[in-house]
Amino acid sequence: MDARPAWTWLSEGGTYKSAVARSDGPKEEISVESSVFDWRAASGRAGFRGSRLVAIFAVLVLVLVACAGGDDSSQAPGVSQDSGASQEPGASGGASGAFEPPTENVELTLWNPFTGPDGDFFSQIVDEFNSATPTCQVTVETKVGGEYAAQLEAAASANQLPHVIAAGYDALPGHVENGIVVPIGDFAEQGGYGPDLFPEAIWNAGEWKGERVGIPIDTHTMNLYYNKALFEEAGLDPESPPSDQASFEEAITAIAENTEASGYQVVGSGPGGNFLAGIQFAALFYQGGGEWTNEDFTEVTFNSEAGVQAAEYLAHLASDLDAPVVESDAEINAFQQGQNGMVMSGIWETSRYSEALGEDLGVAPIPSNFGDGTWGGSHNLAVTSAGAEDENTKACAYYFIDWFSQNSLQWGAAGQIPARNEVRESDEFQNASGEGLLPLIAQVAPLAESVRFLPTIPGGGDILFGPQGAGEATTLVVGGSDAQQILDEFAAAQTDILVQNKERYGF
Amino acid sequence: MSSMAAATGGRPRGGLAGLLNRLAWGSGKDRRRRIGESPITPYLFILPHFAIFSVMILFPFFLGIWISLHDSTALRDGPFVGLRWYQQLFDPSSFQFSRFWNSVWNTILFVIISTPLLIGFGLALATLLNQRLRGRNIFRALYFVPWTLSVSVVGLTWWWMFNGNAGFVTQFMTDTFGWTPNWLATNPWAWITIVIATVWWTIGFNTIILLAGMQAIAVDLYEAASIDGANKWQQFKSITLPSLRPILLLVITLQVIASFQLVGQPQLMTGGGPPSELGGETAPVLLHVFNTGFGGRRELSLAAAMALIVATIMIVVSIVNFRLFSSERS
Amino acid sequence: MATTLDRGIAKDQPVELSTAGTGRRGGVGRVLVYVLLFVIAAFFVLPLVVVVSASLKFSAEIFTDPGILPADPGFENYTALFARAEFLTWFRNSAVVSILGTFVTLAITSLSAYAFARIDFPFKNLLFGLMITTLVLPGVMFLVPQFQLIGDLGLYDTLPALVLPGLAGVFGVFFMRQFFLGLPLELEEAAYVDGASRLRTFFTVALPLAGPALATLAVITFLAFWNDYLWPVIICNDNCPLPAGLRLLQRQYTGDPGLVMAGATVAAVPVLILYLILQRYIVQSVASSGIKG
Repeated sequence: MDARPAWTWLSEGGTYKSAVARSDGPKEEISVESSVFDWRAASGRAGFRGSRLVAIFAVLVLVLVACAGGDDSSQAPGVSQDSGASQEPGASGGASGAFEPPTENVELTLWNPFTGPDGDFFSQIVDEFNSATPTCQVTVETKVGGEYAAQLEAAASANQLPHVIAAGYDALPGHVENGIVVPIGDFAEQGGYGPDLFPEAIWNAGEWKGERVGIPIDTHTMNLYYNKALFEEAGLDPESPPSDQASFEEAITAIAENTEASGYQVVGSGPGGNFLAGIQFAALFYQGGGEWTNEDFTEVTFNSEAGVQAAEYLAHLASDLDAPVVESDAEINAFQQGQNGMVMSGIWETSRYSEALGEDLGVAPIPSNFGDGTWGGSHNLAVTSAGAEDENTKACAYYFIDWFSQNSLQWGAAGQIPARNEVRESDEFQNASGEGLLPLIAQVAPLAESVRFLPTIPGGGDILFGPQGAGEATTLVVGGSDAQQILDEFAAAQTDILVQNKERYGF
Repeated sequence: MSSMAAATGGRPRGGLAGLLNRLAWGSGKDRRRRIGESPITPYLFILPHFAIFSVMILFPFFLGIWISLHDSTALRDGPFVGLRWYQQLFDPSSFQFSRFWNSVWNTILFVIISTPLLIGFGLALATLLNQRLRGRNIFRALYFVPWTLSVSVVGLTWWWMFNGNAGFVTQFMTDTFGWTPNWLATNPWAWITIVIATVWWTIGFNTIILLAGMQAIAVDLYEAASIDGANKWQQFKSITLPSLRPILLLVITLQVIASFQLVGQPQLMTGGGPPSELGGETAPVLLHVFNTGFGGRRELSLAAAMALIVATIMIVVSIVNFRLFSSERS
Repeated sequence: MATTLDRGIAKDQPVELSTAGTGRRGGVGRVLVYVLLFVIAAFFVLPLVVVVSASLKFSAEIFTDPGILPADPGFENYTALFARAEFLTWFRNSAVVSILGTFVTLAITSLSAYAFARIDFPFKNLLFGLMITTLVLPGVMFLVPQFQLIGDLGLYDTLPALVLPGLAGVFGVFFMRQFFLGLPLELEEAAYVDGASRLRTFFTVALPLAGPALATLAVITFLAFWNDYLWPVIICNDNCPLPAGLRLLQRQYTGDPGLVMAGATVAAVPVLILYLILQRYIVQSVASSGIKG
C-alpha cells in the first residue's frame, strides 16, 4: 500500500479536487467547493492561480529590495556648481582674526531651507569658503520636502543632525528646548559679536532665555512692489512710489480708475491667508507702535489700539476703496499678470516679480501709513548639538559662521538684506548696479533698521500666523467681523497658550 | 454538551474555574490537539503577526491614553498633567473648546448630509446596473475607477476642477451662467465641493456591494410580484430593499465610519475651509486633530486627548447605528 | 460554505425588476437608461480627463487656456516633475512599501489565521477576541501614540515606519481565518495521518488551497498600502510615498497647478493600469471582502 500522499490539485470552475492517498485504504477523491467566488472565470484568464500570484509577489519583492538597497538616493543637491553669476565676488574675505580654522581636517554638514534660487547663492558663498579654507569643508543640504522643523526632529531622534543649520529666528527657541541647537555664547564673546554689529532688533531676535543661540545673517522684509507701467498709465510718477497713507490710497484709486487693473487687492481667505494677511497686519501694527506681549510674557496684546487700527485699515481698503478681496496668492498672480498695481510682499518674491515684469518692476519700502516699520523675518546660523560635540568641529563651525557673516554681500544678491551693518554700509553694496537683485535690495536696505520681529519664544510665530492668531483675525475683519471683538477674543486665546508655554519652558 | 465533556475529559465546570477553562481551551468543539505536537507550535504561528500587533496596536492603545494625561512633545515626554487636556476640551470658556467641538459639529454635519446621498445614489446606480444591458460591465467598471485612486489624487483632481481661476467647473459656470460662486473659499460651496468629491470617489464601492446583493435576489420573487400587479417601484420597496437589509446595514455602517474620518479632501481642497471665529468652516475633526498634533504647534498630548474623545464618539455612533438597523429586522 | 451573497457575486448576472405582469417592453425606457448611463459615466471620467489635460499645459498656460483640449500640449510639466529627484523617490517608496507590505501581510496573516482556525491552544479565544475588538477601534486614536512610538524606535521618515502599522492590521487575520475555517478537515487530517507537521500541512495543504483568498487579500492590502494617505503624511518628510508626496507637491507649487496635475496623473497611472488588467477581479475582490468584513 502506498503510504505516501499524492496530492493532485485540479481546478475547474471553482471546484478543487484532490486525490488523497490514505494509508489505510484506496485512494479517495475529495472535492472541495470553493467558498469564494469563481475568480478564474471572473478574471477571464485561465490558470491564474492565487499561489502563482504569491510567487510573483515574492519575485517582485526581491527585485525591489535589491533596487531599494542599491539605490542610494541622497537628498543633497550638494554644493552648487553654478558659475554663471553676473555679480562680482563680494567683499573678498579674510577672517576677522578672532577665529582660526581648525587644525585638523573637518567636514561639516549644513542644512538650510532655501529651496528657491536663493539657495544657489548660498551655495556659491559656501563654495568660496571651501576653497579658501582647506581644513574646514562645508557641505550644504537644502531641505526640500516637508516641514523643516519636522525634518530636524527626525534627524535628532535618529542621531543624524547636521552640524550647522540656517533657520528662522522664530524656530530657534523650540530647537534649543528640544536639544537640537546649542547656545553659542562663547562664539559671541570670542568674535566680539554684539548689538553694535547688527541692527538691535535683528540682534535681539537670536537670543533665548538670555543666551545667544543664533547669529543673524539677513532679514527678509515685506516690501512694496509696484508696476511702473501701470503707474504711468494712471498718471502717477513711476519713480516716486507712495510713502505714506495719503499717497498710497491715492495711487490705489488712480490705478483703479484709469487702468483696467486694480490698484491693490486684499487677501481675505485661502490657505496662505493667515500668512499674507498676517504680515500686512504686523507691518501696520509695528507702525502704530504695537507690542505683541507685555514684558513678562503673561499677556498677548495685539488687541491694542495699534492692532485694531491695523486690522481695520485693511478692511477699510476693501470696503472704502473697493480693493477686491481675493484668495491668497491671487493678488500675487494678478500682479505678475499686470492686473494689479501694487502688492505688499515678502522680499523672496522679488526674483519672481522681476522675471514677470522686468523693467516695470518697482521696489520700495512699504508706505509709512502709521509710521515707520515693516514685518520681517531673519535667518540665523546656529550650531547643533552634533556640531558642538567635538572641539574641532566646533572650531570649524565657528570659523565658518564668522566668515559667512563678513562675506554676506553675496547673500544680498540672493534677495535677502544682509544683517551685518558693515556689509550694508559698504560701498559695493550701496553702489550696486546692473543686473540681478542686489540693486533692488540695496534700495530697501534701510528697512533693516526699522524691521521688527515677533517675540523669540516657542510658538512666537503662532501669535501671528497660527490658528486664532492676528493673521486669521485680520482675514475675518476683512470679511466683516468687528475688529476689536475678534482681536480681544483671539488675544485671550493666545494669552492662554502663552501662559501655558511660559509654564512649560520656563521663560 | 457531551462532546465538550468528552473533550475536557470530565464534567463541564461552572463558575470561575469553568470560565477560565473555557477561555483557555475554547468550547472544545474543534479540538485539534495532537499527540506529540509541541505546545508552542501554535504560538509560533501567531507570533509574527501578534508581535507586530502588540507593538503597533495594543501598546499604542495604552500609550495614547498615557500621552493624553501628560504634556508630551515629539522628542520628549513631559510632566503628568492629569485631565488637563480633557478639561480644556470640555470647558466652554477655554479656547480649545470651541475649535474642537466646531470641528466635531462639522463632521457630524458632513455625515448627515453625505450618507443619504452616498447610499441613495449607490442604490440608484446599483439598480441601474442591475439590468440586462449591453456593456453593463463596462459601465460598472468605469463607475468603480475613482475608488481605486488615493485620496490625494481625488483631492487634487477636484481642487483643480473647482479652481477659482481656471477650473473646469468654474469655467463652465462662467461660460454658461455668467456667474460662478467662489467654490473653495466660501460656504456653502466649499462643503458642496467636498461632498461632490467624496461622492465621486466612494460611490463605486457602495454600488458594487449593493449590486452584488441585488444580484443574489431570486428572479422569481420579482416575477411573482409583477404578476400580482406590483409595479417596479413596489417591487423595489417590498422585495429589493428588505432583501438588502443586512447589506445596507453593512454599507451604511462602513460609510458612516468612513465619513467620520474625512480628512484628505478638505485638507487638499479647502485647507480646512474659509476661516471663521470657530475655526475652519470645513475642518472636520480628524483634520483638526492632525493640525493640532502635527501642524505648527505640535501639541501631541492635546491631540491625543482629542483623538480619544473622537474615538469614543465614533464607537458610540457605530453601536447606535448597528442597534438601529438590526433591531428593525423583523 | 457558499452564502447567498457569494452566489450573487459569483453569478454576476443582473436581476432585473420584473415587468412580467405588465406585458410592457420599454423601448424608449431603454434609450433613456443608456443615456443616463453615459451621462453618469461622463461624470466619473471627465475629471480625470481634465486632470490629464491640465497636466499638459505648462506654467501660465493653464490660466490663459482653460479649455479641455490644450491648445499647445506639451510634456514640460512631466520633465519638470521627474527632474525633481523626490518624485522618483516617492514612486519607488510607494512601490516598495506596497509590494513588500502586501507580501509580508499575506505571510504573517495566513500563518496566524491558520493557527486560530485549526489549532486549539490556551488563551486562543482571548487573543483572538482581543484582536477582533481592535477592529472596532477607529484609527484616529492610534495616530499620536504610533507617531511617538515610531520616533522612539528611531524610525521617523523611514520605510519600515510606513509599513509597520499596516502589518499590524487584524482584518487579514479575520479574513483568512474565515477562509481556513471553511476548508474541509479531511485534507489536513490526511496529511496528519501521513505524518506531516503543522507547518508542512500549512504549506502543502492549506496555503495552495488558499490561493483565491490570498489573492483577494493581496488586492485589498496592496490598494490599502498604495493609497494610504494620513499616516505617511504624519510620519514622512524625505521618504514619502506618492500620496503624501503629492500633498507636498501641492504645497510647494500651489501657483503651478499644471505640475501638480502631472504629479497626480503619474500617481494614478499605475493603479489604473492594474485596474485595467485585473478589473473584474478587483471589483469582485472588493465586493467579497466587503461583505465578509
